Amino acid sequence: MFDRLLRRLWLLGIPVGLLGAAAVIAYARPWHDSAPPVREVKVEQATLRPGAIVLVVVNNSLETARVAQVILNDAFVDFRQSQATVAPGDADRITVSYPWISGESYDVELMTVTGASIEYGIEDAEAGTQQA
Amino acid sequence: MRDFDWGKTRRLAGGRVLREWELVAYDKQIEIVPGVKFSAWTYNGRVPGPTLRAREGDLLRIHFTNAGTHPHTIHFHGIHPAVMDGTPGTGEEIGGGLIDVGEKFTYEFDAQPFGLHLYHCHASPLAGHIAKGLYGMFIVDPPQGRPHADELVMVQNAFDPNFNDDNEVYAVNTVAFHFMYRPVRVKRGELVRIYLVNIVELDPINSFHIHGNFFHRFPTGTLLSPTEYTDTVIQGQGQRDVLELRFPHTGKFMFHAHKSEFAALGWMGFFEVVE
Repeated sequence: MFDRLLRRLWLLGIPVGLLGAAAVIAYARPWHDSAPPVREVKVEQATLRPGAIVLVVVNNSLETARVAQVILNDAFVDFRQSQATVAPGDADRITVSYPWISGESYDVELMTVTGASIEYGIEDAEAGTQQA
Repeated sequence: MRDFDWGKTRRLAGGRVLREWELVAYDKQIEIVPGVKFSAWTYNGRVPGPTLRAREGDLLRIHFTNAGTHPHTIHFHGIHPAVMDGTPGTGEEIGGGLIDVGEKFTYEFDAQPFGLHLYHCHASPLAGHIAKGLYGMFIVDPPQGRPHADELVMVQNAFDPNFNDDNEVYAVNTVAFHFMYRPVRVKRGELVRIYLVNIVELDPINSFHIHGNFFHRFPTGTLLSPTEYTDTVIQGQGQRDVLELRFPHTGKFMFHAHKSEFAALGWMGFFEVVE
């Protein structure tokens, strides 16, 4: 008697379990791209003109960003920026004085006040604007 | 740069000198290049830690307190008993070895041999504990002393603030480019003695080069006769040299790592020679 009751409960549990799993999968919708939007500070544009590289930095993070130093090809370089801090959703223009050479490559590293790096690469340098 | 800590001293029965120091490990934010803060692990709130100085034969006691957030040690270079080595796995039976957070231990040993030595944390991961700032210079003077000189401490160090296992900032005594803006002022003709150590992690070698002059090199400072007369010295990790020179000319003379990448990333400065 007790065994039969257990067997019925077990048989009943299979469809209930399947229904539950289907509901969880439908809610999570793994077939959709559910990744959160990327929230980061990044260089979106670089303009090369004689003796200077101008970078547009966009802050897509939730916190204010502050660039304290710029490293270009493993050397600290002089730079100026349009504003001291970059609020969330805002952009900054950083101008690096640098005698770049046509056809060469440059690794740019913006160092924030916390020591974190925002990296950007320029390949085959030529005058003009390139988008990230 | 001219800061030497001789400790609290008293003379023991028999005439021997006892020197004692208090070293406390704790976490502190320090500025490593203008505008950039680094979350350092420090001895006594500074990187490098205080330059401990003694004379050969003195009895030394270093009272260590770990007020940091990770277990630490102080490992001294020099000649001493195993239980005083500040290495995890040795000395635990007397309360030494790895010193846990909130714990204390007193290292006691004789100052020997004379020369230029180091102390640093020896907890694992070793590179991480050193790179975070737990190191300092340990000088043992010869019993008869060295000739009077204007003495300078130069600890070649580096930092990896974005933790990508590649240093971004290089210096002597922590702050990149500091001595470019505040040159080290010395007098023309006066003997200058530089205590130079390399504690850079993540890079295999470092170097020191001076413009417009040559120096006598005393490797590890353990001999009183120089072995080389040169203007550039290469140092591996933990290597030390005592350098002696006099500037015959006034003016500004650069000193820097001759590994140009390190120089461009902060390890450069000026001597300013005055009358």
